[in-house]
Amino acid sequence: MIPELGLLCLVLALLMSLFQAGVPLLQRWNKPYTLLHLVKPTAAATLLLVSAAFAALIHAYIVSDFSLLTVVMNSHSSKPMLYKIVGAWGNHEGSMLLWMWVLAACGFLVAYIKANDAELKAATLAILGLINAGFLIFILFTSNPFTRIFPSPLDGEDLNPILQDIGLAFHPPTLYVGYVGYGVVFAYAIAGMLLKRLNSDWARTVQPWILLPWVFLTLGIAAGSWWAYRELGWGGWWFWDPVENVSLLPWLVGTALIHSNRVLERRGQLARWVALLAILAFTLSLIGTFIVRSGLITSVHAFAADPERGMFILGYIVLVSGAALLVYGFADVKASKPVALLSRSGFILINNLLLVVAAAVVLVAIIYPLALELLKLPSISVGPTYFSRTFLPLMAPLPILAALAPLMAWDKTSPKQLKVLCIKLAPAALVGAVIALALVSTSYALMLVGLTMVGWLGYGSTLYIRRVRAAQVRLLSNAGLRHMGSAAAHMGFAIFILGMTLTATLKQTYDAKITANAPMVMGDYQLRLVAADKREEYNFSTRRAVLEVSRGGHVITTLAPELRYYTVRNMQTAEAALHSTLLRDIYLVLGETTYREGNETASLGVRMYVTPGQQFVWLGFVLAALGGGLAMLASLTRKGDAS
Amino acid sequence: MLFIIGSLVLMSFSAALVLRSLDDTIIFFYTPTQLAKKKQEATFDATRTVRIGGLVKKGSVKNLAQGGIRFSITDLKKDIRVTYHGLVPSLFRDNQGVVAQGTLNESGELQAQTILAKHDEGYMPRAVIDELKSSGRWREDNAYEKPAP
Repeated sequence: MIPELGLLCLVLALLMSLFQAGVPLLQRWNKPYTLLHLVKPTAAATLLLVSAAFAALIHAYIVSDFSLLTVVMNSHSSKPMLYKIVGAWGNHEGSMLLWMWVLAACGFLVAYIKANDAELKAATLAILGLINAGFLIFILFTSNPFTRIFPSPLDGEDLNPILQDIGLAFHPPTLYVGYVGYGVVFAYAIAGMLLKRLNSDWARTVQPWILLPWVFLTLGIAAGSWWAYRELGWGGWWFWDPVENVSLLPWLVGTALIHSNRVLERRGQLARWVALLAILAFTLSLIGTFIVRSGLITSVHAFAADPERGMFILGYIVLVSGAALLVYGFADVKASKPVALLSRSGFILINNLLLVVAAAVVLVAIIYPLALELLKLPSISVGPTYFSRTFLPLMAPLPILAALAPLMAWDKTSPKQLKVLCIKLAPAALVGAVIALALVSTSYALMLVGLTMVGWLGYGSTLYIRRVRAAQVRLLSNAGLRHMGSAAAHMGFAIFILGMTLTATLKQTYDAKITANAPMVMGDYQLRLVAADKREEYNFSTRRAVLEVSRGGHVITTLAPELRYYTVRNMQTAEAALHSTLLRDIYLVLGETTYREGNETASLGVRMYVTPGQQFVWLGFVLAALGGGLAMLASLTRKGDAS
Repeated sequence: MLFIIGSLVLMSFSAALVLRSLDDTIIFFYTPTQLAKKKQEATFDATRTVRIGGLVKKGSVKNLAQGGIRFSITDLKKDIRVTYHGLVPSLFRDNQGVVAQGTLNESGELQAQTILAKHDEGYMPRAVIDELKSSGRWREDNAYEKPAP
């Protein structure tokens, strides 16, 4: 009964969305009978209905209702309660419903946040209504989470053990807020072009909506990376895997968008470019969903290879983005003065160019192997080397710009002023270079470039903060928050580069067979087996080795990595154990060194990764997101048109 | 104007970089049958890293005395011997889909640097499915592929 009610809610939500799309259009013809006040409650009703449907699905997972196909395929009565609940979105149908819920929630916020321009808001809500409707049709026709199965089996097939991790609780929701949030920016861009209102006021209105998805996308990517780091047992945090690259695309374009929208807001320039980036960001979010969900890429994210779904999303992208590009092509945008190259705006434009070209470079690496496969040509894979040769060189100038731009004037900077700035920053960069040369690493080039940039940008951000304070801007004022946000994000970028450089060049890997009688020597470190045991847990059995890690006779910590065996799916996963300090991670993971023949048990081995700088990667992500959050707070609290 | 020229230069530079890098860094994926065919060609560069995908041949896995394992990857038409030193991935079993990455030695054995641990117990490289289908050995009921929900 409850699942049927959930389905009914989705159908009603579809009707609501169509109404939401239709009303503002109707209103144009029916000026006297203004129906506009109905749009707000419609958005609220849509959110309520989708929430009810989502609650119905979660309920089915909690009570293990095995008459529902998705519950059978992805749950098991013995699964811990936490994973029953968050497992509701650990599959295709549920995750699409989560996507829809976030979309409805964003629509609700757009409707209820006060706006100066009622017409722009109404048009935006109409376009969001259309996006909603398309997505609801997709869910109802190809991904119905409430499909019944008869006769219903006694138990389910369980959730993929790799997904049974706390990461599942927050990685998908945060990432989806990022993807879907760009839908709002997209709707605003279309509405702005249709109403010919792409100007400074428009930029001010969308500012929070440009920052919100970026903050969440940053956190979502970080959460996914952190999850992969802990769960896959490979000791790394980024693998240039297609599903990771796909989430990077809207992030790169979104970063470009944040910066150029500021130029539009302050100077009234780049309106057309901002609109194009908005369309691009949402299109790339959709493409990401399409590639990951269609099963084109084999990964933990591809829940089902169903061509029908793939074709539907592809059609949806063609329709949404095609229509948007048509509007863009015919849009009548007032021409503005060209941007001066030597200015903050000019540097932002260069940053935009680099980011968009970098996104294209990543896109090529995603599409090329897929295209070859579709054409039945030899299968290939594009590995990390490709990215370190193409992506990193394109990114390298960004920290240079990021340090200088905030210290320059919006409209014009003289070459002399620029020179003064560079001379100020040079010593910090030099310090970075000297440290890089003093460290022994696997790649001197990366280390040298990386640490030089860290010095340059880190000091640049400090100078920026100092300048803001010297101008006696109150930190908790609107402008203060915005400056703090920008400085924090740039500082986060510097710390991230530090982490990336150190983890890429200083990581060490050791392998050893586990022996009880003698300690295992791993470089400077020694491992001693303290205990080994076998336990039966709730829905898995586990083999555990308790290992004491010491260095130079001094005991650092005792770690207990595990090898887990999940009975229902007949799958083994390695559970890594970590010891973190600010400067380095010690990471232990178990594996079998020999193959089990017949009834023999395999001998166990242990792999140790010592990764300096890992914490800086996470810290960089968090600081950048925090900076975005502060800037968003500033854009929400701004009154009127005070700059 | 300067900006337009600059962007054109940047874009053509990146395009060149992309094409060059794709040329040197892509890793080709072969099934044992495809590799046997490819080896006949004059342009085949035996020093390049390749990926070989197929099934772990039943009963082929042997533990080596000096550590590591040796096994065969099969597509049920041709086999390739693989040696590998290091931790055996969690999902490595007889008759299981597997992808090994490494270089070929003179005797045509693959010295694997990595055995790709796949996320799913039913994982099977698509090229291998095609190969099995073309030789009529593909069985839909087999646990080769994840059950479609």
